[in-house]
This record gives sequence, structure tokens and C-alpha cells, in this order.
Amino acid sequence: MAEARTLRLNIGPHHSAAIGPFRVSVETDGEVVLTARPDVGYLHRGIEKIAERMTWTGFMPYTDRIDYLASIHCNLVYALAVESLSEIKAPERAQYIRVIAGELNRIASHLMSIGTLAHHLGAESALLYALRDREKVNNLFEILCGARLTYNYVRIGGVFADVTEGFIEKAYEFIDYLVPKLKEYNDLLSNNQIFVGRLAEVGVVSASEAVSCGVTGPIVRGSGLKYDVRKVFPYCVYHKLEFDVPVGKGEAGKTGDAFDRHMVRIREIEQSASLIKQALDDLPAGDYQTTLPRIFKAPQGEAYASVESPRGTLSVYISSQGEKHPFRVKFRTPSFSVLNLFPAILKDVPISDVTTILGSFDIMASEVDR
Amino acid sequence: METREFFEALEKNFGKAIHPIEDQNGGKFISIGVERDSLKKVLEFCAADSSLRFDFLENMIGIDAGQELQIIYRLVSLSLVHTLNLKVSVDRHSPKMPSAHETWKAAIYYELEIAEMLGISFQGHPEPRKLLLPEDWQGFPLRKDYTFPEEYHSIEHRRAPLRKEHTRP
Amino acid sequence: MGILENAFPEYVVFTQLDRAINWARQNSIHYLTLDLACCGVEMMQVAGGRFDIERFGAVSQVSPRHADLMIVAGTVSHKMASRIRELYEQMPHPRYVISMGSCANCGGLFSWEYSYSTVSGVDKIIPVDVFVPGCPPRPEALLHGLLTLQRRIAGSRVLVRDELRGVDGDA
Repeated sequence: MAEARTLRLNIGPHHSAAIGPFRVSVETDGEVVLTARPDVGYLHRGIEKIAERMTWTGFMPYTDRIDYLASIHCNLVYALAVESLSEIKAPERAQYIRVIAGELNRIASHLMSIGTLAHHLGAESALLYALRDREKVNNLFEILCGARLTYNYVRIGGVFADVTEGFIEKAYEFIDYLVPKLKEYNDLLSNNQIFVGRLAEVGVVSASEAVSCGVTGPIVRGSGLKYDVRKVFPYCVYHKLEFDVPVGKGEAGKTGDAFDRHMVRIREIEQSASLIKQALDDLPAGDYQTTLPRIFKAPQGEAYASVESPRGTLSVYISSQGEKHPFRVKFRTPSFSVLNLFPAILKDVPISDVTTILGSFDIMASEVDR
Repeated sequence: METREFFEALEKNFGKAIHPIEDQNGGKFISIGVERDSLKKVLEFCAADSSLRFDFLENMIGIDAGQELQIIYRLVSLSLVHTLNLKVSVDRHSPKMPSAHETWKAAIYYELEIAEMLGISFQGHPEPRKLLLPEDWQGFPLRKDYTFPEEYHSIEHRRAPLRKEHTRP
Repeated sequence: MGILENAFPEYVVFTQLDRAINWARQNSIHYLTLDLACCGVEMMQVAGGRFDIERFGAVSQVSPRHADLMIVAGTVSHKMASRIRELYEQMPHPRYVISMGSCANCGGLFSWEYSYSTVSGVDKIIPVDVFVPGCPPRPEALLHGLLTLQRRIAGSRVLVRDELRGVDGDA
């Protein structure tokens, strides 16, 4: 009798199933994956070490590059931590602008992840639709801060610039454009038999497994747990705004499968649109920034801040010795914890489902590696 | 619940293994110090006790504090909505820590990262390996005395400046 | 170089065939998307409807064995360097490289002074034809980089011998 043999197959680091270089080494028996081991670090840039050599304010552009699809959130979490340490209070107007920018960024990020998930399954046109709408968000950001991708917009003590002329009208226009367009995505993907068939009951993550692994964001919400930092530990002005936290309900089969995660993202876009509208309606007049001293030094001590990024809980710990530069900066990035799910979820699945599962997890290599 | 109540609950069960609360900066980030030897039991208690119920390990932070290395465990209870920071110090020259992966699976990758960045070895870790850096990388980057490599696999790390005035001191 | 260059003995003389070959090469560039970091997102947007890189004859390609051009978009780490080299060596001749963004050009924000784990410039490991500056470059900048590369290809020698080049002022 022939000896049973398995094959070790490398998916990545140059592979399109993740944004950025990312490798999963899977052991297969025929078409079935037996074990999977993530291998990361292909984009490790030592951002936390760089922080120790930068000034407090000079580190801000680097936070953009931690998660470049959600730059605003990375800026924001760092700014919140430094503000909490040095007892600076950002003006009310800045808080609202932060919410608007953050939610716009969430829309852009979710559009990208919905598009790329469909792209991995072979639905090329969905990505083009997503890129088309993402360009509209990019246009808004260009009006707001001049950048398309790495915004560096939120600063310690406020935002870098006030909302520029025409932004508010254009933002209202965009919301009115986007919400009906979501039906297009639903027609193209969510109600598409083939798409549902590829996602239903694939990569089922139970809520308890997700919590134990430290997974947050659309993955844990897709599993039915209503955990959102914006609700549980509100920051900025989220406690004044009304929004729902969509959770997976097992519409296509089991709760916590890839389809639930996809639907959570679609519904979050809707919620973000409503949040932007509310924030634009309530936008108070006033200052958008507090003036910092020319050489900014955070007082001695430690601080911690968390925000809800499009991929989950994004936190930062900062420690200061009262000098010009931080003593230690440590980011907790949501995609990093997802690696813990791999051995359990990528087990006894066909190879063709691996890209589906990776796509539905929406892993950012830059965030894992930092 | 507040950190002070957690402290009382922990002190009642573990006595001297719990250090008094460090509050340097007016309640912004309060951590409770724990002796390394009883850390494993403390963490298990935090996860299991019905009034604490910390089901979620949000973060593990490794710090090089000069004389010693420190690890902060950031615990969150999703069901009871409260947070707790536990701080453990470990000797710089023979840094060994118990692994927390049996309590929270999330610890597996946090520990891998801390191990390669600060050189702390976690006992009982299921799969010790380098995570972010190549297998043959020398040194622990997040230690304060780390020096940057001159070259890696015959690729020079330094790049000659285009003009003289571009050099930095 | 490719198989064409050494396929003919010395007494075969070409005069204008290069133009036809280069015309074909420059207008059908299949590029390998080496999506490493932030610039990778802008590279995706270039393929989208608004910038539409396909109108210049460039199509994205996932396999290096079918690619003519490698767009290195993002930070090159020491761990990734050997893989990039490997991908480059799998590409058939003639092959071109566009280095997109400051990180791939010279290290940029993550150059050797700041970061311990990055290669300061992809030109340390593979030859680069066109550098596109920016952090990240706008999609228009990448398009300009592609057009620059096309001009370079149009002026390159394939079969015409050096002594015959420039006889009629071009080639």
C-alpha cells in the first residue's frame, strides 16, 4: 500500500488574497487543507522603534502607514492617547470633523474589502464598481486635506485644517449618491446565487472562539456578538450620535460564516453614511484646533486609547518620560489577532475556500507587521 | 468595577504577590503590579472569577524599562464592560515568563512578537519561532541598546546619500 | 537579453525592424502587481475606471512568468528582498521594473536611518528602469511613469546593430 503523503503549499507572500505581502503555508492532502500556518513580517518596518526616535508630533505621518486603508483611525487613536496623557481637549468642532473623516474612511475601507473579496472569487466587475465609488471618497478627502490615501489629517489637539469650502455640500451629495448604490452591490453580490454559494457556511467562526483569540471588528460581529468600541467605550462624539451595530444572523446558513462578515460590512457602510449625515447636521461652529507649544513634550506617564477601525479594535499604548520623543509606543492592531484563528478555521477546508476565508477576514499585511 | 476594587479582590486571594497600585498620572492609565511567580494563577483567576470575568486579552505590551523588562496585560471583559492592566517585571538578563495561551488563545501571537522584539522567552509556548523578522535575525530590536544591522544577507543596510548636505548627524 | 538578439548571424542586416518590435513591446505591457504597501492601493486605483491604465495597453498580471514589467509598489523589507529577486528572475526577457513611491526608490520614510528592517531602495536588489516619486504617488504619476517607460522601450535596440543606428536620425 502506498504511503500517505501530504503536500506543503505556500500561498503568498506574493498573492492577491491579502492586501500586501502575506504568506500562509498550508499542508494539504489532495484538495483538503490539513493545517495552516501564517508567516508574516514581509512588511515589517519597525514603526514602534521609529516612534522612539521621533518627536511626539513628528511621529504622526508614520501612523498613517500602519493601516493605510484606515489612516484616519490610526491618526486618531494616537492623537487620542497623547491628548489623554497631556490633558489637551480637542475642540467640539474638531471632534465632529474627526467622526466625519473616520466614517468616510470606514466607507472607503469597506468598499475596498468588499471589492477585493469578490475579486478573489473571480467577480472582477465588483472590484471595478467598488473602486469607482472609492474614488468619490478620495475626492472628498482631497477637498478636505489634499491627500488621497495617507491623510495625516487628525493631529494632536484637533485636526490639521478646517472643513474647506464646498466639502459639506459635496459630502451630503456623496451620501445621497452612496446609499441607493448599496442596492447595486446587493444585486451584484449579496443576492447573487454564485456569490452566496461560495460564501455560505465557509469559514464559520464561533463567537467564543473569536473572543478567546482576541478577534474584533466585523469578524466578531459577524459571529453575532455586538461588540463595537464606538458603543462600549465611546470616544469623540459617538455617544451623541445614533447608530446601530449590525451583527451576523446566519442569513445564508450558519452564523459567523463568510457571508455574515460580508453583510456586516455592507450594513456598516449604511450606518457610517447615517453617522456622517448626523455629524454634518450637528457640526458646531468654533475652533478646529488647539495650539500646541512649538516644542511639544508630553508629561511623564502612560496612556492608552482605543478606537473602532474598519477591521476592529485599534489601540495604542504610549509611555512618556517627559521628553521630546515617546519612550514606548505600542499599537494593538486588529488584523494581528486574526492570525490566532488560522489553525482552527483553515482546517479541513478545500484549497479553493482558503482565498474566500482570507478575503472575508480582510487582513491588512501592513497592520499585522507594522 | 474600578481598578481599586479589582486590586482588593486580587489582594484578598493572592496577598503579597500583588503590588500596590501605581498611579503616576492621575488615573489615566492605572496598572496593578503582579509578581512573576504567581502571574499564571492571577491570570487564570481574572479569566474565571465571576465578578471579574476577563474574557478578552486585548493587548500585551512589552517594554524595555532599563534595569528590567516589563509586560503589561491589557484585559477587557466584554460581558461586564470593564478593563484592567496588569504589569509584570522580569529580569533583563534571564527573562523568562509563563505563557498565557491556555487562558486566552490571543496570547500566542502577542507572546511571539514580544519574544522576538525583547528577547523574553515564554515557557510552555506551543510554537516558539520568529514571527516578524527572518529566522536568522540577530538581536532584539525593541531593546533600548539595540544597534541597527550593517548588512543582511549581503544587502548593505546603509544607503549612500546623494549629496553631502543630506547626511544627518 | 531575449532570444531575438542573438538569433541571427552577423551577415544578416536589419534596418527598420526594431521599430515594429518596439512598437509591439511598448503597447502591450503586462505588469506584475507587486503590491507591498500603501502604493499598492494606488496601483489598484490605476486599474480602476477613472484612471484606466488599460488604455495604454498595460494589463495587470499575477504570475511573474507572464509579465514584462514589475511595478514595485511599497516598502521592501529585508525579509521580502530575496522573494522580490526571485520573482524578478522568473520574468521572461525583456523585463522592466518601475519603482513606485519613495520607499521603493530610496527608503523614504523608512530609510536606513530610521528603520532596521527595510532595504533602502529596491535598486539595491534589482535593476530599475523608471522611478516614480511620491509618498504615495498619485495615479497620474504612475501613468506618467508608464509613458516614460514606453518612450524608453521605443528607443531601445533589438536587432539593428549599433553602427547602423541613427543613420536616418532615429531607430
